[in-house]
Amino acid sequence: MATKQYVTFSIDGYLLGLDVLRVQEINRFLDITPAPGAPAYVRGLVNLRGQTLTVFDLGIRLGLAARRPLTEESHNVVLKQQLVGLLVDSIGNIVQCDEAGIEQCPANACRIQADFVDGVVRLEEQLLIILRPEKILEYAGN
Amino acid sequence: MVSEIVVNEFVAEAREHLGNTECDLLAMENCAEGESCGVIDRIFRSIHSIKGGSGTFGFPAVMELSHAMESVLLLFRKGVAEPDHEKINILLQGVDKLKSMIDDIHSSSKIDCRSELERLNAILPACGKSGGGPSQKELKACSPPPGSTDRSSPPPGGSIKLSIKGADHTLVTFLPEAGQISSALSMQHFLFAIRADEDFLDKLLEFGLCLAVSVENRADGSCHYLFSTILEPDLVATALSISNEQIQRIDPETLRLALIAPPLPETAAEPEAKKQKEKTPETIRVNVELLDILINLAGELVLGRNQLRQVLEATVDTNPRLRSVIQNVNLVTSEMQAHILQMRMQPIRNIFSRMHRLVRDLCDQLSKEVELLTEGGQVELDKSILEGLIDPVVHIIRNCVDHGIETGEQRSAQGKRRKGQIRLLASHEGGQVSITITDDGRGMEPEAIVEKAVIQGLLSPEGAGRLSEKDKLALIFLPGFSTAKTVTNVSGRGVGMDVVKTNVERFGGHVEIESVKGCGTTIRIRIPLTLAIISSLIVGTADQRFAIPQENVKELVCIPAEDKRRRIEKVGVAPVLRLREQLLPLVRLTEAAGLSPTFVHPVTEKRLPERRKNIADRRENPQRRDREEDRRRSPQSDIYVVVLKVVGNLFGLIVDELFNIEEIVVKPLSDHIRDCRCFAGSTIMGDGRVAMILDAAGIASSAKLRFAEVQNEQLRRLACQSKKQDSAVSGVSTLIFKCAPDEQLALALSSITRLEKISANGIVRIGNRDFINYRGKVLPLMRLDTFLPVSPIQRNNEELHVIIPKLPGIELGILISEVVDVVELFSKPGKSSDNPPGIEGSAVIDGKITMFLDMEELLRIFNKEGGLN
Repeated sequence: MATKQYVTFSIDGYLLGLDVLRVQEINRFLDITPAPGAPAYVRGLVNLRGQTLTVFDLGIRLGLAARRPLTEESHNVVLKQQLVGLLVDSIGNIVQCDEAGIEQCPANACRIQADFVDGVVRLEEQLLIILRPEKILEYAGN
Repeated sequence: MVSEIVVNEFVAEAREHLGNTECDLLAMENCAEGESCGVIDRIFRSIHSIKGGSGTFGFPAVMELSHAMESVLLLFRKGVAEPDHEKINILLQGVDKLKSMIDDIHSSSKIDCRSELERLNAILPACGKSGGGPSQKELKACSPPPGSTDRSSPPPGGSIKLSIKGADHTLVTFLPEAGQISSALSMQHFLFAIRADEDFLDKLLEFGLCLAVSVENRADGSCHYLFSTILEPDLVATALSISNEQIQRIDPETLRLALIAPPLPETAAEPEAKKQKEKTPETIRVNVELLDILINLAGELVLGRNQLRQVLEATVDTNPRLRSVIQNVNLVTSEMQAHILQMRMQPIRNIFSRMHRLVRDLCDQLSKEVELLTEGGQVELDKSILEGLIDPVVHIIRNCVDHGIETGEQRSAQGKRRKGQIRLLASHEGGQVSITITDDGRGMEPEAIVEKAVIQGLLSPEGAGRLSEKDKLALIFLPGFSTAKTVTNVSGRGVGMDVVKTNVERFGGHVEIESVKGCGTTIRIRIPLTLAIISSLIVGTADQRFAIPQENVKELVCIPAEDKRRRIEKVGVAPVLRLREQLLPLVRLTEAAGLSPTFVHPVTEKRLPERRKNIADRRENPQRRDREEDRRRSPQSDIYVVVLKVVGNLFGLIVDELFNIEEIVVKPLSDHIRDCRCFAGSTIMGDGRVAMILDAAGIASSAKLRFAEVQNEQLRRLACQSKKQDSAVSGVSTLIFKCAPDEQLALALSSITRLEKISANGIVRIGNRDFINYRGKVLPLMRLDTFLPVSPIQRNNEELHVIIPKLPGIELGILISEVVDVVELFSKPGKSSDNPPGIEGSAVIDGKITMFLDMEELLRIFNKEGGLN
């Protein structure tokens, strides 16, 4: 049975996960230059070793509140497909689980829009919500 | 089958050789006799290694052609033939053909090179050589093993002295190049000393290489050749059809010993070769992709260094050795980055060398005499820009030769040097590269250009009158423009200069043109050093920095706090700046960028949110305004305006802070930010923070600047001003007024005594006539609509005006509803016979039809109808 690894992080108390293979790195480059006029979920740009990384406020992107203010725990989860970082509250462990263990997201599981959720995994203490990076990266401007 | 990698290597090398050969051939033609020796050798070597490579890898067509060229070159080398214009032409054609073969090496055999071969062979003297393909034996003899070409075997120690017993048992001395000997040895060639006549060389070369000719001069005119071949010793005599006595085999061991011996002291010919070596340092071929990766990594390294420095800054004093280490890392990193960036840079010489050929070919085609002088070939430019520059420069040079430079006869008749001159000059100019192309031809006539442009429908005759001299010349950059009287196959079809302009502008460059009739034309191209790096003004607002590309910045203006009111006005709702009698619409960067405005408190020096709505606003509370320390009068409240130009329009961008001008690297924006119209991209500043690059056009459109409105206002003011100035001469002051909202009427101001404002309530109507109490007298009022075909005054007007005419003895007021303006008129109103009585004529004032009243006639009618007197 194929197992998959997930990078986990939390937003508003939810434990969220992304496939490890879709994540390039996690960093704390949080000197964000705002990009006025961009869609609300774009927090701004940071310098990722000479490249400009567009930082999304994952809270706003998922239909939750903005991540404000930033804390010592705040991190950027940098995706692989595009130079996009997701601003999250804190970083959790890498979680390994069987693909068979992934269940459909129950409709009332969270306030996150269903489109963003790939499935859920029941961990011992908490429900891990697995996100779909494609949906997050979809342009959702005016 | 030879591996593709090796073939590619051969192709790349052959290209390089051909490139050099072309330059060398051109150089050979120009250099004086005797000097050309080294050049011929170089060409010979290049062509020879192409021949060798093509033989090895099995490209017979390439080999055949290069062989033929080699034979011709040999004639030059031996001094049998002179490298004149015609022969060089033929060789150049051969080079061209070889180039096209090399470009498509696998189908090189299909390319027809018979005409080139024929012409080459025709040069060969009638010594019976058929000039056909080289024999199989030679093919073997002169093909070096893969990877070993001329380049890989430069003589390690120059020439060596080789004294051996010759074929006639006398001592002969050769001075061959050590490298050639060692490569012959490594290839297991057999070496012979062969005694023969002087013209035996050709024969030898059919079967192998001649490495040297003996130093000694013999009475019978014969000499010894140091012959290297793959032929077995017993075959040599047969192959060369000479007797065995003429052949003396040289023992490889002797050669090895000779190689170990110290090299000869430099002979006279040597320094030349040395110089050549210094000029072209060793190079290797590197994939461009690899370079790009390196450039990115270098960028990352620099940023890592910056961060390291920031982190260590706090602890640097605790460890005295830390500082020097940091400094060292610092230095090395910067230097490394500079060098890595330089790797993509290529000297502009690469373009220049092509132009020599171009000019030469054009001269032949057009039978003109032109020399091309180049300067600044060492100036370096980014590879991609360099490639993009080729077309524009070719176009310009073509134009110079075809249109610019006159024929020799014309030039002589004008007292110019018969040979025209084109100077191609490259130089650095403050972060940019400037390329200047100057010819001393007939120059351009601005008037002729304008005329042509009008004829070709590119310009209206009215538009032509407004153009400055420079603008007129710039017309040649319009698409479709051509002044050439005849269309030649070189140029004159009217596609050219606009291509030059668009190509150059694509790289963020500019083209300028200057011309003096009869003396020549200068075209100047300015381009940035690299594509991705642009020079930008860094500005700050609301604690953020932004970069504005310098090409958009026209000027910087500082408005002192106390001047704000005077300098900043409003047109409609939009703030405008009065700058040297020009009105500039103003935009606040904070607004355009959607930031909340802030200001720095002059006392506390804290950044606080700004509450003012208008830039020019000041405290309205007089008591507080009197306070001396009014912060809005302090220097911190000075306004900085960056004047930006966008397609012919100017506007002012208000920023809080101005920083320096920096070279920034443009990073593209992600799709998610694309629709912020204000930004053209982002960049990373020296401290590692990201800054947005402002897009002037985007700001103008998102701030909804109405350039037209401001322009109209300006035109109106200008008109007023000029009217005022002119009125001193001959203007007629005219009062413009209205009775009904849409109808404009006028009276000469000279026929009016007074203009009174009255309230509609004050009008007393008696019978069908109106009166008012005017200065204690009863003043009869005339309503124009009762005498003239004009609309009546609307009833709802509460405030009205009365015109008191200036006519002696007549007391009367003309009732009107609105005074529009007083203007100066220079022309008499147009008269027409069908004007109704009382109306003098009509004119268009400020875009509206205006009826001019005839005061005297009006009074006459009034008196007749009303019977006042």
